[in-house]
Amino acid sequence: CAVVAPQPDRDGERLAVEDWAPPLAPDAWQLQGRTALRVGGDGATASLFWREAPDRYRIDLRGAFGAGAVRVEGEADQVTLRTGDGSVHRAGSARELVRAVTGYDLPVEYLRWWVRARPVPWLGGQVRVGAEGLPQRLEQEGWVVRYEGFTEVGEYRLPQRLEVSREDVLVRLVVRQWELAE
Amino acid sequence: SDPVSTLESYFSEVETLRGEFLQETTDEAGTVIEEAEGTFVIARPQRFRWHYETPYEQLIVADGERLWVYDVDLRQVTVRPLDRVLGVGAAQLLSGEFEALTESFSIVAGEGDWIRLEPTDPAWDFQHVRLLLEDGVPRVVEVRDDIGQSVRMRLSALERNPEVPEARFDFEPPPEADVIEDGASAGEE
Repeated sequence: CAVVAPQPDRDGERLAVEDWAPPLAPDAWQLQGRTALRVGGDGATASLFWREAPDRYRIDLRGAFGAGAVRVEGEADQVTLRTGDGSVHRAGSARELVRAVTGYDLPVEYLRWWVRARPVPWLGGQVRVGAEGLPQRLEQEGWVVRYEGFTEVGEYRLPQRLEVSREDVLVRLVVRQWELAE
Repeated sequence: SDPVSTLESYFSEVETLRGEFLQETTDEAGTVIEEAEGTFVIARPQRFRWHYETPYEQLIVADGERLWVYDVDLRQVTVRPLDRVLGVGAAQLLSGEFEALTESFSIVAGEGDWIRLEPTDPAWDFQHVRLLLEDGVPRVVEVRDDIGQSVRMRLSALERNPEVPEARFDFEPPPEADVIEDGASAGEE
């Protein structure tokens, strides 16, 4: 797939999120990539497999050599987290669950929008928009999302590399492959 | 001789091992969700260098005390003490000691030349490990965990007991990478 060059950070137009018409994005998709997580001086890197359908999602994370695997599966109002040693945890939201199990406070629900270069619809905020209406930098609820490159996937342009940070939490995502669900 | 004693002789006779690997990860439905390739070198005890070249570049180095995981695209190095690494998988199995293996696993002959290792120590968070031996060296290491995911490490172009300079297992984090203490691996209470 053709790679859209990363846009310089400076020349984008700064708008309120409400005034921005974000580019089209799929609501059934799958991605494979790598993610680095940092909370204060602590952190991990993992292989990432993420599949989304309108009513449910599945996120698989694997550490070095595929060990330390974690699977998060979400449906309407219930989220389940399984680990490689067979333990199962449930909660009402992915964020609550990930915090309970790993201690990391990660905006998983928000990431489902940000990873597609969309703003979280129920949050306000600011966005700096570059060429072709693609976001360079998005700020919502104190989180800063930096987009460093997009790629063409069917008729969509989806992020290839993004960073989400707030205070001492940093999530870095490098997407190797996007797929659209039929 | 039976596979279990062949495995024991691997640990006693093969001090260093070098070659290439193909790591294939499949999910419970059997679909391949990741295929990674690269080169490796092992020196007993507990030193190895696993260089993933595709589809992403990653270098995993065990220097005998700590495990360094350097993700090139992510510009991040995570480091943690080797003994606090939970169930690293193939590399640690291949570079460990037979006695340590028998403490953590019960070793059972499987079908054909396969050997099954079942963890007796709950800290190793994967359920089943299978090894396939060929002319005295594990060719395939398969680790299946409770999510139904299986990671199969296939070794090739093997060189037994090559000369390996000690410095091969020293890891110097590159300046542009952040170095992070990997305290809580996912799923660790």
